[in-house]
Amino acid sequence: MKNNPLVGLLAGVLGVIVGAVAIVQLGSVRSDIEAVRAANVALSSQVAESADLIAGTSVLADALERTQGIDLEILLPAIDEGKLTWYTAAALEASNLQAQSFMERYPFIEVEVFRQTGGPLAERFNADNTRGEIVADVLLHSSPSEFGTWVDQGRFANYIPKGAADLPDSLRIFEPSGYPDRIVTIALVYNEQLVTPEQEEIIKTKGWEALADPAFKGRVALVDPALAGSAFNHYYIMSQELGYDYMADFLARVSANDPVFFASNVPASGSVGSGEYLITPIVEFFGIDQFALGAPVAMTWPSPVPAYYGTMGVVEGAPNPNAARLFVEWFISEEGQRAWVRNYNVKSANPNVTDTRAHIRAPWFTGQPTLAESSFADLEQQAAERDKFFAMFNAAFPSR
Amino acid sequence: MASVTDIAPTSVSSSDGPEPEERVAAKQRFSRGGLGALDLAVMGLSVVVMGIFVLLPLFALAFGALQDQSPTAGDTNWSLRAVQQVYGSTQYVGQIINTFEIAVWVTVFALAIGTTMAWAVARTDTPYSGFFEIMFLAPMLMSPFVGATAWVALAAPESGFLNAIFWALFDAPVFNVFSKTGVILVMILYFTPYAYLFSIGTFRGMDPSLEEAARMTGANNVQTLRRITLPLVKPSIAAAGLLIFVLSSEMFSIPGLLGRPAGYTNLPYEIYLQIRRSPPDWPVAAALGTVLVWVALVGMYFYRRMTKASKRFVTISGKGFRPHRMNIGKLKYATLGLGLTYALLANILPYSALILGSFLKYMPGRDLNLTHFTLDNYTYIGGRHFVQATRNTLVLSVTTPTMIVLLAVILAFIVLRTQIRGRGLIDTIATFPVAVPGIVFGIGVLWAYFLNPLPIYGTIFLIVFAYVGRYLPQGLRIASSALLQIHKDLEDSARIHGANTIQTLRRITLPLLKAPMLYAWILVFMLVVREISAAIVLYGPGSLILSVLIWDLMDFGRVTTAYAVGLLLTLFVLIIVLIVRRFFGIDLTKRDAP
Repeated sequence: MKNNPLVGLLAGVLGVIVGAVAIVQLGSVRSDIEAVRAANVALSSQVAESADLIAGTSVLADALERTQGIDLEILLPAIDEGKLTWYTAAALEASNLQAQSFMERYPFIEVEVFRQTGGPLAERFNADNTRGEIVADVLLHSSPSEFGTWVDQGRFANYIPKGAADLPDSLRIFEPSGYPDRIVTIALVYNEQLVTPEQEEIIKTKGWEALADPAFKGRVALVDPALAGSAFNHYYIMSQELGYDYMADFLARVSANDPVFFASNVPASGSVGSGEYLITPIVEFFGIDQFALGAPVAMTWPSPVPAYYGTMGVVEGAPNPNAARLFVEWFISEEGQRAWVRNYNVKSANPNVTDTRAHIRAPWFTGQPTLAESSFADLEQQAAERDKFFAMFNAAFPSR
Repeated sequence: MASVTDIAPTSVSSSDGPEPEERVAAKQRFSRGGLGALDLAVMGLSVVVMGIFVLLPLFALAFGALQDQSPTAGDTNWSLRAVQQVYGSTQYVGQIINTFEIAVWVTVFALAIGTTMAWAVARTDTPYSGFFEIMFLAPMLMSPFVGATAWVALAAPESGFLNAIFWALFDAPVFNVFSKTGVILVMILYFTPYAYLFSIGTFRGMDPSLEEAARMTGANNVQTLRRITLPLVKPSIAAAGLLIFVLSSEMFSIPGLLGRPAGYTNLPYEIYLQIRRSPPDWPVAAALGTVLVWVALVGMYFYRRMTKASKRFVTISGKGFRPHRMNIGKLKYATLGLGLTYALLANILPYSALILGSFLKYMPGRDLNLTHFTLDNYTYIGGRHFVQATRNTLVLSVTTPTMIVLLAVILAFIVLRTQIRGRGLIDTIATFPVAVPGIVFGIGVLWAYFLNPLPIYGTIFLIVFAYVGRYLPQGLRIASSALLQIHKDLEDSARIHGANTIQTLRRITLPLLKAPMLYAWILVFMLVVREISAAIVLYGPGSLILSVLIWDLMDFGRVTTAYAVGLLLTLFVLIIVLIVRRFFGIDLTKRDAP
């Protein structure tokens, strides 16, 4: 979009009017930034001095201890930058905890977390780019297809963190621009207190087909795939793995079971936790989260296991490129991934990172599919078949 | 297009329709010839104000609807795809009908309940009127979406606390909040306060001699109400009705939460879907937004019809009488019953559920027991983001109403007290944002300012701009109607004694405007603090606000933590309202409100 003269004219006059207000606000922000910068310059010169003159003092020892294995070419300028802005589509609270875990490791870098849902986050990231003023140093997005578009547009800098070597080849498709921060699978979550032993048996033996079983008539909660990317992935991957013919028939049978649709995973998961509905296929994170809070939910991972991943990368033209690289380096490392599993109740993409989440100690837990047992969508094909998929889905649920 | 004088509360002494208002205004204008430098300056200012807060976002929106992708993508091309998809197919007809259905039911019932209770509290001997004053204000302190989740906890068929009683008694539930009825009922509860607040001032300021005259000529209570009282309060009802109609036709959160499970959604939900899906389709969202503008225009049409008919009932004096409350006999038990039912459904039950929920680990349904209790939700408060969001909310909620009130006074003065050419246009333009749903207006503001040299992109002022544009019509309407109440003689006498325009404004007009302006301030403040739909697309790094934080907690399943934060926000609003009342002596529900 071009900047038209009317916009400029109106804006110019307004500048005079709101200038005073804006200056006051910006002034205080600026002075904050200056203070942080001054502190960082002081710190970095302190580290440099220490290195040059008084090697062995606690500052250097501490810095070296904390940054083992990090290239000094990244580390020293990162210390100088002293901060980074992280655009994230993951939960704010989890992102905040993760930023804190990072700052505990690298106290000389301040992380500003900016969380927004996928659509508006993409909108802001695009707006920043079109403006030519990059704000984000690191971007984490939940939709691999949008991430792929940005990679094609050159919006990410090349950087290969050491942890990438541990990732399975199938998840390194965006390398060297982006890396999976987590694996998301869809699980069948049910209220273990309210299901009868017969119903539980149906869930365990029939898997996804349980959703179409008359034993659950009127007690199934679903998530609207038109609204939630996770549900779109779920049903699309099933179609991809089992064929559209099977899927059309399966969905018609699920439809005959009178399921209800929720707009997102949270109310669906909450409705099973509260006993409103008995069974729901949702992102495993929400089931585990409910379980961790004490809700009587149990879960299984029927086959095919629909899976997708969140993706993160260093933004091209980032104002703090070295701090950003340090952040991604740490995030993809085993330490960063362990922290992410702990802070967000998600599954790591790194097979070396063991699952420590609450549900693995649950009496009903009998194991979880490995990465190799999970099915991922072919992104290009998924985008191309979007209309075909929704035609099928809407045919099965005409009054949806 | 209706003028700005059409869209918010109509005051006591301006219970007449727009036409008489214009006549009065014309009489009260300063009679001066020619354009002075000051005139040019104020007119220039108002053009700029209208341009930046209202026109630019709307132009950006129209532009976006006619592009092949979001303007933020940079290299966009003109395209009719979105407009064709929205206007050239029948796929949204069902949702458009639902949008009307929700808006009409909610408007009719909210008006009926709110106006009846305002009348009962102000004009009749219905007991506990002080209690009802609070009960009809309190629902405004909570976000309707959070309130709706409380109703899920109460009235979900299998797990709702209320239904638990019926399960125990009859082994079957009675209520089902996940239904069309659920959507409409819950929305009625949260929109009724607007109807109450808009008409209570008029009822209080009404000259009782008219009603007495009716009764002396043999009319009974019902006849008096129908023939005298209702026609007098009609402009206020119309203004409240328009606001409720517009706000309820742009709401996506409650239809999404309660209607979606029943397969019942509206157009705003569809807009939300276009934004939420991956990848989002912004041009279609913008084009769908323009459909909602037509919906709002339908509301505007009925508003104008209603106020036109009321022009026969001109001018009631606002001074020199002591309103008395009439004895309505046994009818008072009906109004008492209505008030108590509302208090129970809109406040006591949902606030109880929220307070209870804020001490629970998750919402457990009928299985509730002691092991579910926790204080963790309150330890969340004090965290980094909570502090940041509270600080920003404070900045936002003080800056926005202040800017709106200042701008509204200046603009109303230009429209009503000057003869500057083109002043009527200000009226018309300022009305447009009323018709645009928050989330769509938010997109318009983002598109208008991301390339703009104004240094507001990425700051909290981006949200301030959106809110000023959105709520300026409310402020302008209150300012206009208040200015009309001040007789020109007062200003003229100041001028005869040698005061210039500025001195007259400062010494006469502004002091008289104090009370209604504070009323406008509080009203806008309450709307701003809870606002979420525009903020969702506009907040940036460092400009997180509490309403967004609550929404974020909800979005990731921390429902009971969201309750704790939501209750604190309610407390925050309550404290600010009480402070303003205490220091400025303003009572939202009393006579001195416009």
